[in-house]
Amino acid sequence: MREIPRDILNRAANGDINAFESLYRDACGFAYSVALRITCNKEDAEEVIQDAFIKIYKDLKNFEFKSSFKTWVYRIVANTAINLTKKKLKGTQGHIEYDDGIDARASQEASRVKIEEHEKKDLVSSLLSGLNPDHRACVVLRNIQGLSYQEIADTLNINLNTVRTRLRRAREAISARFKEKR
Amino acid sequence: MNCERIRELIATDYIDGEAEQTAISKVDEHLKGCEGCRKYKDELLESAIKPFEKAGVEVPSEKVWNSIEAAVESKEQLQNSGSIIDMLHSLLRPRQAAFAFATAAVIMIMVNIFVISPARKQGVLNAYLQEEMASLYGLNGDGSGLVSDIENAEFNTSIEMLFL
Repeated sequence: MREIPRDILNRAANGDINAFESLYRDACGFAYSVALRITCNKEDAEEVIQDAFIKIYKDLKNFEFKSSFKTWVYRIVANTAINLTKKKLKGTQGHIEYDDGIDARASQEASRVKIEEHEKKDLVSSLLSGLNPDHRACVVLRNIQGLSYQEIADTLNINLNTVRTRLRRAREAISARFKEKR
Repeated sequence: MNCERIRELIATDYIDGEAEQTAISKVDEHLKGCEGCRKYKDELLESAIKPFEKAGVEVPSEKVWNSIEAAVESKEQLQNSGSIIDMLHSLLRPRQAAFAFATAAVIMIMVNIFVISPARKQGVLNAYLQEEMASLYGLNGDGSGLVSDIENAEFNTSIEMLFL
């Protein structure tokens, strides 16, 4: 995500819908990736993004630039996703669904690449789905989004040692699951 | 450093490049002589790190933005309709002003009929009763003039003389 100019943030905070859309377009990629990996469900991820960005719109006036805008967005999205996942895990089992419609008319090479991507996505979702939402969030923010430990701590409002503990437990669980799949 | 501590570092700071140089050196030194920890590190890299390296960025469908835009715009309309300026504008509109005036007039009339007038009448009645009570008991401030003995009373008005 590129650094968002202050004047766009200010205009969006004052109700400029075009400025807010520009902000959304810049942030929705990484935000949706986080939401999708934590919820493991496309519909839930879209619901998270919708709720998160409406909250961002309402609270933009109160954003004081104490942290970066990106960290603030991560915080809202991750926490919304974790809360929704925990709520749903009480009842149903979430699972990720990817488009299985591989185009048979594509070239062999394109098909092979697409299958590999599909398998990779499927593997990642499979490995993540076995974790609880809190551990999943740490792995997603570190392994996929590349946040530092301090940024993860700020996003999830936990201390650094908790970040380390969750990452270690999550990775060992993933490693065990990976061996089962082989 | 024991294997437990080494594996803690491998699973976190060491693999993620967050470890300080002294810690990195200690881990590297330990790995040279410990096959168990070397295996642990290799398995962790293969299973918990590599699969995520090219996980890629996903993008939400356009309907998500459409829903956000609709929610934001309806919120703006709600806020605008409740503003003081809009309220003043509505008061200044002729039809609504006339209606407001008529309503106020009716309310005032009703208040006068059911609240103020009865209260005034009650006040007049109270004053009349007080006067009558005063005259009946003949109070002169000290209780004198009280007609208690009918036999000694003097009847000298024309009406009294007529009936007597």
